[in-house]
Amino acid sequence: MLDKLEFMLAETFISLRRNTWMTFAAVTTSAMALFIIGAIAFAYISLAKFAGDVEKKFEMRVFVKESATEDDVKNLELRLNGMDGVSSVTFKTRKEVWDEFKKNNPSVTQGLEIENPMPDTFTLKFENLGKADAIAELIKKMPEVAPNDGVNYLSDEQNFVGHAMSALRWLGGVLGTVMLLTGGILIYNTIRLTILARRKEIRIMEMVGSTKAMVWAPMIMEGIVQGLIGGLLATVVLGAVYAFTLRLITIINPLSQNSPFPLGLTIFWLSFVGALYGLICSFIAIREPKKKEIPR
Amino acid sequence: MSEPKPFITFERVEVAYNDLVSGLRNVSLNISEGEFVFLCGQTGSGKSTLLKVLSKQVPVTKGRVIVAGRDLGTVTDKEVPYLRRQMGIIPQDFGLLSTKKVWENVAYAMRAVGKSRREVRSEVPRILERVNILHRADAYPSELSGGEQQRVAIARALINDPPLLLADEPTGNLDPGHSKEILDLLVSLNEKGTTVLVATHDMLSIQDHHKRMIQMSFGQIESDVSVEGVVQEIPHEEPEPEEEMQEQTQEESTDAGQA
Ligand SMILES: Nc1ncnc2c1ncn2[C@@H]1O[C@H](COP(=O)(O)OP(=O)(O)OP(=O)(O)O)[C@@H](O)[C@H]1O
Ligand SMILES: [Mg+2]
Repeated sequence: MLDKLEFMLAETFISLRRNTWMTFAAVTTSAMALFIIGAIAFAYISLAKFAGDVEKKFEMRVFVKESATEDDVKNLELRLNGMDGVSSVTFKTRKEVWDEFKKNNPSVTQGLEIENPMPDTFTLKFENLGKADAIAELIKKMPEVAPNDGVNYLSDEQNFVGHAMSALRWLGGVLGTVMLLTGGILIYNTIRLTILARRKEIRIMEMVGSTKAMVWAPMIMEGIVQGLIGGLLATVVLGAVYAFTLRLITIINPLSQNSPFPLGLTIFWLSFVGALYGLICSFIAIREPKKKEIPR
Repeated sequence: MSEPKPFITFERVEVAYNDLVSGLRNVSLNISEGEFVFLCGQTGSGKSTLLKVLSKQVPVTKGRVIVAGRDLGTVTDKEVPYLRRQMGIIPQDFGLLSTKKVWENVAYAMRAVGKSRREVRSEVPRILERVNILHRADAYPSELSGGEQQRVAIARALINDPPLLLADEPTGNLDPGHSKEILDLLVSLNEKGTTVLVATHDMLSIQDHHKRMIQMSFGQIESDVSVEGVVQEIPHEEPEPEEEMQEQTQEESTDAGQA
């Protein structure tokens, strides 16, 4: 068993050396892809942490129109509860809202004997800030909702965090996908080149009765190694960028508190994703040639 | 005379590469264990196809092939490597790795079938000795004559100690002197018990060796002359009428399907 593994690894490294430049291109592109994904994940996580409290407190108020009947209110509650991305819905009658307001703002309301101006109000919480705009648009169109300013939400700060996070998601998605695809194509090409370069070896192996695993595992391992090195490289670059950013922040604000670079976690995830990706790409690359027989 | 149980049996084997090209047409034959058989015939007559059928590089369209009691039709893709270890394949072009020395070429093949370093160390010299090339173990293929290269290819075919050797034009790239040397080597391996099939159109070298000779033509067996020079009856030469009918209807139905 160990003997077979040794043989296959030796074959793998011969190929990696033979395709130096293709390997270099595949590894660096994969590393860039993983770096971008990693960096954006970092920024996203930091932002999410910063926004954590805000997000937890994040609420949207929906005001029911004045002429609504009890049935209308029940109906609206059902529909709000059923909406995608809404995590909780609580209801307060206009009397409750008014009492609460009076209690919280005694100076404004003291001695004021006016009729209750508050509408029945729903308070919504969200699973994900990014969807708030879309949901607000939907709710505004519901007939039971007060026609003007029926939906009230988002402070500017909340708004910014929501936008920043969805922008990051978008940017990370697009950039990461493009780079990942490029890296994947390069890994695929390298493996195809290896298969071409190893035509003779593969033919001999099939002739003398090597198992499919023995013949094709070196190519799979080559892809895995490329992805793995890409992941490690990405970790190094990410660590450097992180350290640099921390220094900048401490120069600007010496009192700021920052968490250290999570090295172990980053190495694990980036090299795991890299290796998995390399595995997938090389697997696709050998799928077709594997079916063909080479010996004569 | 009691016939030994056949080692290789072809029963009415057809190989169709596509609708128009057929590699073998209704080939039936028996080969006993320990026999030496020349397959000859013009180019395109189906010699290579017959050998490829044995190593399962080419699927059989119709009929049955049995090797050492095993119907090749029942050999799964997973089992093919193990089937190939039962036969040594010797290609016309030697198929040696030019960047590896003679002994490394053999060692590489042994490692590729999962043998350990220790096994390789002890067995390579023995195998090179068998084909009389041990003295050139440290040479690169480019430093060898064609005959020597072919001996390395034969050495590689012996790594699994197969009971059967399949050689497709082993002398095709060699001059007459080296051809004789290689055929003599194959004969000597045969004398130690290995069944050997050699495809060739090198009629000159065949005649020196008095061996069974199967003459092929357009995918069919034209004649089968035994060692003693007896023309053997070609089994199933006349297809039985009812099967003929069956084939006819099958052909018709495929034709109809295509129309
Ligand atoms: N892979 C293939 N696809 C289609 N047709 C093929 C294929 N291999 C062989 N043939 C055809 O099958 C027939 C028999 O070919 P085969 O290679 O068995 O002949 P051969 O006797 O070995 O000839 P040669 O002496 O030239 O090696 C030929 O007509 C050939 O063109
Ligand atoms: Mg041929």
